[in-house]
Amino acid sequence: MAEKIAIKFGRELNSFFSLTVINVVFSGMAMGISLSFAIVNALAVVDMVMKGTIFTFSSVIAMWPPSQVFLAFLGIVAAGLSMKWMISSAEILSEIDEIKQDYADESGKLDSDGLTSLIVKTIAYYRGKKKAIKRLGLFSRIGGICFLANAALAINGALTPSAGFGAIGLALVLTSILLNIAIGIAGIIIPHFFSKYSATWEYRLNESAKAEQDFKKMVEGA
Amino acid sequence: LRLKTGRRTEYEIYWEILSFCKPGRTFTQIVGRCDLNSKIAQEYIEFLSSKGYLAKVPEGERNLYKTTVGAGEFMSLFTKIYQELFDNSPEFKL
Repeated sequence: MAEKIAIKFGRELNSFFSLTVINVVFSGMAMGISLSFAIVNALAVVDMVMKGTIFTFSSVIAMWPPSQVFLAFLGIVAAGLSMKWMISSAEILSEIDEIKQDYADESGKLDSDGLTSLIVKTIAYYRGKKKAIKRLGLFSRIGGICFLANAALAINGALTPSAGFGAIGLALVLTSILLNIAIGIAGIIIPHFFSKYSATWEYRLNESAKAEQDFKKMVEGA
Repeated sequence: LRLKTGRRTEYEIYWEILSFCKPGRTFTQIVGRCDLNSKIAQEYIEFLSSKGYLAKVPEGERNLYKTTVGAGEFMSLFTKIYQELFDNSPEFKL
């Protein structure tokens, strides 16, 4: 039985490790893109201020939507959320990597006690990371929505009659739109898998809590 | 395998100490392996000793803590329940 459980444990561990790595990669991409987006638009705002084309209240309103000011603001918000997304992802990754290493070290010689110890460690890990996993889901979803909004704005900008792109310009705009859509979708899908992981471990946590009564009876009756 | 403290239940810590002490271990080894501070480790060891689950065995100039046969029932139940709760739950897949 222990061998069968050890195989299941290894499969789950690999799935969760892959999910956290994908998450770190996407959050890193999201942070890089949103920072560059914020900087490009902030520079455009600075340029307009230098030329005196904005900075009166009425002209800012007149440029809405989507003004460069708004886009720079959106980029800063997305960068902040992506950073939170990446920090939460890194927190989750750090310890699961340790458990994965322990499992790899024991591979082939994992006995019943070693397996139980890994299960205890993973339950303890989940207890400690429950809140971080929930936070991650929230930041990831908000970040995803920001990127989809950005893609929508970019599509809107590309479709305006005044937007004259050359072939390279068009390719760059399309790449940017596709990247934004990919990160947006990832931001929305990833939390779904974290919810599945939480549901699995929440069940195990509840079962272990129920078992405490049996342990208590046995230990206190000793 | 090292465990972080503060996230484990007392029974998980009991099991971890008992499992580690099967061949006989020093106090320092228990503290290090089970990630417990000295004071907490002392409390756990005293409790397990009072229940007859752990015995102090002198070996040369040092004392070893060794899991007794009496701990077998608790350890078997713990192992069975934890392996079953993992085995009986749906598998997480990507």
